[in-house]
Amino acid sequence: MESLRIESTHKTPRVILDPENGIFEFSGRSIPEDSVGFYTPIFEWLDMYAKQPLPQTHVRFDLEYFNTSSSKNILEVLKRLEAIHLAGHEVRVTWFYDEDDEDMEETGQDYQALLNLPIELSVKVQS
Amino acid sequence: MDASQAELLHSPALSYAYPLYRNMLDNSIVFMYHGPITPDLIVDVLSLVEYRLGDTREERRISKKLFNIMVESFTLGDNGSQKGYATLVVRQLPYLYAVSIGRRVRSDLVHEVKHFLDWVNTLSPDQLRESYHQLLQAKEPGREQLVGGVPAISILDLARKSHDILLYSFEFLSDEDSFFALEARIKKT
Repeated sequence: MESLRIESTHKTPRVILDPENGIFEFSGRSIPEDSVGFYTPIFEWLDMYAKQPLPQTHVRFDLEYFNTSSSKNILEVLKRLEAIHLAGHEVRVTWFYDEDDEDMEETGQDYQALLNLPIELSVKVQS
Repeated sequence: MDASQAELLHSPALSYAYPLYRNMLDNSIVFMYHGPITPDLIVDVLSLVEYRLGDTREERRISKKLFNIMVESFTLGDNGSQKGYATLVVRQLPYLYAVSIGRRVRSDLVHEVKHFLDWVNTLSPDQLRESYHQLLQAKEPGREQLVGGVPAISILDLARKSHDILLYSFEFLSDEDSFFALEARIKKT
């Protein structure tokens, strides 16, 4: 299975889904004009990965800001990861947020409450 | 200076300028836009607002919240047929920032939007979170939970982020359309 790599733009996130190492990353902004169109290839890729996942998958969300349309699609990404986790494969999600961004922290808490998936909230280290 | 030059200096074509300036001053408006609200525009506006704000911890916290609210306002301003065509206003008052979005809604659906906003304004933070979670988990993606043509989840999201009631107004334009304005406020402390 090949990696999925989408470079970031000023309105869409960078996405790296690396099936060899089980490391997934979503970073940047997510305010696409067509949110479903942007996330659909990611859903399709995850559905393929779910058939033969690695024993351990680590997913990093390091988003700057996003709208509710993206929130729904990120929830769909997390639901697919939850299914992999519930099937007995370890999936660890780290949700990064800026210490000044209480909304991003609260969004991470929302996903923790809605899913049966280990989601760790982590303050970004300022560079 | 001849008569025609003098007429140009006092051109009636510029009679809008001072009332507009006065209106912006009186209402503490620091940014005002009318047109298609696109993700590109939002990114540009964020840069402008960031430039105006300082770099203290509190100012960074407020600017983050302001950004998050403006980003969601974009979704609220998307009214389908006239995609993203709306008015965006940012006000800077001594104790708060306010972001308002203005767009047309169908006149026969005004009561529906108003009823929903009145209900949202009665909810506690926990009730807001619960209602938001319900809409977030709804099966159909996109604009399925519209209240009078307005995405309900965006209204709940703005209410959660502002930690305050949402102010609104409706202006009757015709039997078909009314102008709807919604303001979310962010306290500076």
